[in-house]
Amino acid sequence: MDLIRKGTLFYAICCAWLLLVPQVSYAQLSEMESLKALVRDIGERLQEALKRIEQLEKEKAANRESVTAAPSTPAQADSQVAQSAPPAKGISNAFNPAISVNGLFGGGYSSRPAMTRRLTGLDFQNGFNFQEAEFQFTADVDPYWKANFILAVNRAGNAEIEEGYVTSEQLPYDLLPRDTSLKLGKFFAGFGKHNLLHAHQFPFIDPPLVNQAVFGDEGLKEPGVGLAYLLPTSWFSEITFQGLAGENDRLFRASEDAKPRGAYLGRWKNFFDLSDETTLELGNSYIAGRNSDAGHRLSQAVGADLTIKWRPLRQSMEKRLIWQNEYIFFQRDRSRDPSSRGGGLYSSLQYQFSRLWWLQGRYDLLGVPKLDDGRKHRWTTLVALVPSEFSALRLQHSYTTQDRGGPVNQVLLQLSFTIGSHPAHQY
Amino acid sequence: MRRIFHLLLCLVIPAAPLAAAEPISVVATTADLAAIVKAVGGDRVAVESIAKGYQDPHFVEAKPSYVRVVNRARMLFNVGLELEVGWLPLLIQGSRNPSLVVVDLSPGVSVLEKPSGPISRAQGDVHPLGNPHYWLDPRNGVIMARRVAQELKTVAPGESATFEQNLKSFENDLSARRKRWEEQMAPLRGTEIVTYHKEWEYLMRWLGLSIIGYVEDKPGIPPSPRHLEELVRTMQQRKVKALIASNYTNPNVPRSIAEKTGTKLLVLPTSVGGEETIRSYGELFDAIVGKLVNALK
Repeated sequence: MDLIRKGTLFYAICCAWLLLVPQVSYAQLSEMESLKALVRDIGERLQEALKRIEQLEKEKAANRESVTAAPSTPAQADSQVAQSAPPAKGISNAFNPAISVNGLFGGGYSSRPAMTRRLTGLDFQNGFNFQEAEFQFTADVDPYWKANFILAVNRAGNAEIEEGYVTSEQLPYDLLPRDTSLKLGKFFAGFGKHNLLHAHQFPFIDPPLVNQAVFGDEGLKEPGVGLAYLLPTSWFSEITFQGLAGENDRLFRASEDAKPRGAYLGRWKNFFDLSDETTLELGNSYIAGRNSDAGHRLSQAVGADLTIKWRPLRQSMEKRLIWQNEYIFFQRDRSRDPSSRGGGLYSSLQYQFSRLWWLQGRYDLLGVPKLDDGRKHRWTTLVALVPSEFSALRLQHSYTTQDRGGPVNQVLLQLSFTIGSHPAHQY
Repeated sequence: MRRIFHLLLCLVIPAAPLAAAEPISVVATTADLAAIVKAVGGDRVAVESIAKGYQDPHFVEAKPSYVRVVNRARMLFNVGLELEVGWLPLLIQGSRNPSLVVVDLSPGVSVLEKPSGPISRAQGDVHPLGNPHYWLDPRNGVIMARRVAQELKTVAPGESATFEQNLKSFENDLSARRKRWEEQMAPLRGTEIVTYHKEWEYLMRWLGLSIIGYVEDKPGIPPSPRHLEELVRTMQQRKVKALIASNYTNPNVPRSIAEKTGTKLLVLPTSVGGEETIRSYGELFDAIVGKLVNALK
């Protein structure tokens, strides 16, 4: 018995030796074998997976048939949806804000580079420039508030909260009357049309001359609170009232050492559908506030705007026309000093003539009534290639004449791109 | 004093029954949803739709006049699956109407083309929640109508019987029509077609037609010349019988492909109101099936 056992053991060792040794000495061969085995294994697994998919498809189709034959009640449907949602694991991304990032990259050439900033409000030098990056975060805070943050990082790398506000249409105890919305935080003041836009939303690469002259390069953005009421009219009519800090360095002469004295703003906006495809917007705005510097005199600005938009309902991606006009008059310090009062206007036409292309023109006039440095006229043309709603390449030329100083020619090129959450498009 | 009292009474008495009979004001984002709500709600609802039937529902503009419509509505029905993501959030927010009941009709529908892997905008206008054109299958129409009835009943429980009855007639009518459509299309099952955009998946899956290619290689992005060359070659090789485009698509590209390949270009409505004669959900499929049968027989 023992002998038999020993013999078996010996036999087993020999077999193992015979099996192992060639594997060691013919390592390459063995590698091939194992690869073959792996491929066979993958093949088998794939077959199994395909069978499983087929089976699942069949089950799904059968379920679908049963749903259509005897459709579930919506309540059942809801529970099906709920069941299919992944189980919570403690940490969830579900309530993270929608995030989008926009980048503006450009190139510029000016016949008088020193004047670029004054004429365009852009920190552009001749050559390529990183213009700005904007980070937007949006989410519902709770059933009452919706928050929006826009952080801008400029060419120098300075970050700023460009806007950070909450809006509400409903508050506890119905504190907010029906048809009214509330806005709180730091935001672009609701003055006119152009002032509400971020750099990547500008219809042209640079802002209108008058907006720059009245509110400065950065526009009128202020901490404050605003109420907007929808009037019970047969057309869209909205009245906005905003109480603001009065921090604008241009209009209210605010500076870091001087305490802002507060400002208030009113806007009345009306929309008329001229047809299913054409709308007319008429708006009036007024802002007044005390200056921060000595004397705290009153500064004010009044504006009027008219916009006509046309977009065909059929093939609406192919053609569009926007004609926008805005006039702003301002008076700083409420004095008759010509250096502290003036006005300006712009009229712009944007025409989309095919799926990807836009052609645009704008006329700017600064100095009605005349400013202390006289009048400026600017003619701007722009052609844009817009491959999708997330990117645009724009080439712009402008020619400026001024009472003081010679004419300036300027060419700007800009690439705008947005990643992240799909933004809804303001009308 | 008495005279004034009588005068007031005269004003109040006729106003009271009128107020009770006031229909529920409903906004639907598309004309199809409006048609279904109208069919189920009957004269108990006043429905207004935002997108016209001949308009691409992806690209509606958030016009302030729509804000007003939503402001005055009691209920809003939408397609969901991010079809209206570019405009509806602004209308709802701008409406300042916290009592608005918003109903997304997509839950309950078996959604096609839900992305299973990671998605990016390099793939074009992909819908992360799946293909939203589900109303183009009448079987989904029934699911939607049932949901509409349930939601209307919640808002106006007193009218439940009416809604239930209307729902039944809608279902019966649609089921009779569906039988007819399926019979008409039965000989054409398996026919290979090419479509412009990915909006016919539900319809073709129901009718058993096989989509072998798209003019848009990426949804919502104009096709590249190389893709069009390949498509023309495939269509010629497989002798594709029809190229289908919706009636809001620019017909230039599909027309030139049809000319090159000798394929029939079939322009189909995607919604109620897409053509003047289409006034109900059933009539939408009457028109679509009629055109398909004519073109493919």
